[in-house]
Amino acid sequence: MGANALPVYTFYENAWSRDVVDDAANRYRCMRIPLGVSPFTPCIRIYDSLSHAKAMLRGERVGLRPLETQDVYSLLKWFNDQRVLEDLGAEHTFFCVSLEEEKVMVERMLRDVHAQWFIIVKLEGGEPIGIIGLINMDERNASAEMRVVIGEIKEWGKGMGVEAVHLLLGYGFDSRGLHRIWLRVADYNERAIRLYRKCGFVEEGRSRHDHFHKGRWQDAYRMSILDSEWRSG
Amino acid sequence: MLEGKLVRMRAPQRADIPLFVKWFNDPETTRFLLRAPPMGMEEEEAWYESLVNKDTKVFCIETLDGRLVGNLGIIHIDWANRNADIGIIIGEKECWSKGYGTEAITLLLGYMFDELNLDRIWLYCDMENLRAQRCYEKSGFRLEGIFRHHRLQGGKFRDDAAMSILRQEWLDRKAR
Repeated sequence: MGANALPVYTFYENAWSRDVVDDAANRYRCMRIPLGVSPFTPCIRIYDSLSHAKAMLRGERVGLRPLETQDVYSLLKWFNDQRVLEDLGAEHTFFCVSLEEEKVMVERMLRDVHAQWFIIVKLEGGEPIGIIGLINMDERNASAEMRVVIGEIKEWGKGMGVEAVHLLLGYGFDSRGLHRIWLRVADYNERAIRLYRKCGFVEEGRSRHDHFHKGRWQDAYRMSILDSEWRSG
Repeated sequence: MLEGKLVRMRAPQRADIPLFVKWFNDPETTRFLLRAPPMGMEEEEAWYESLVNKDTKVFCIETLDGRLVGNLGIIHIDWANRNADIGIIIGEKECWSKGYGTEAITLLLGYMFDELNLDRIWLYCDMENLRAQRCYEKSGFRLEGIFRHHRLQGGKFRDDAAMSILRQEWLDRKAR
């Protein structure tokens, strides 16, 4: 009996955020990948339906839960706010995002097997306040890029970001076995740089003329943290 | 969102479609539009949905008190050659000649030059549409040529004015 005949479904470790997608048919398509077809290293586990839906990485005041399709409304609000976009480093080409465009974006994020997105929620009440995730996950070299945005302006300056980043680092190093987590940050985004330093990231380089913003070319830092630094810090 | 003194720009929403249909079926409003077929509700909805996967980007022009008065769009960006063309309609007729269009275009130009790093923004405009030409000139566009018999409309071949603004001209205007 060949591997293809095994009555076991194969899932990617990081595919589990998809089991909270509303659309059951879509979920089925995403999750069922026959053995032997995948070009990536699969991890075999039994699909226990919605056991992860409530899974949450919990800190003191904030928690991380998997991104869901209905979060598109929060994202729509955050990514249409000029104050939020201001220092993000021209990641978004356009400043007015429609609901339909954001939906396509979320679909793509959920489908990306090299990314794991979380919504940052307040533990008290569960209000979503931002998004955080690991993208460009390189399993061979155990490294990933981190992205984080606190979209609710009223939660700025309260240390919510620090807590969320700590939770994500814990997830990346302890659950995903990463060795290195890196990020890009615009050099004028001082608040973010301060936050990353506080979380243990160190500057490792500067991308000169990384993006165009406010009428001129702007630089960006590359920062990273290794698992050994995370564990000793 | 991008905000000026008179108007702001926001993303279009599905709820705006009936208003678009009203504008695009008004002969007075569409008299000088380069492409102005009569549009039904369903066609307009299909157009709205098609926007997601196109490089056309449409913005809604809203007065600061929230009244939707028109649309402004980047029709195509040629990234390799750093240029793009734009189009605009002020659909609410009582909002004509109030400077809304001029300000919206100026806001968009700022975005296209300062954030998207483009070098040339261009557009076509009916030669007889003097009000629009004045608006474009106020925003910094220059007439660069006339396309004779460029379009057939209303049983007549019409001439189009080609207008454009270059990055350096934009910077000079800003410095003034």
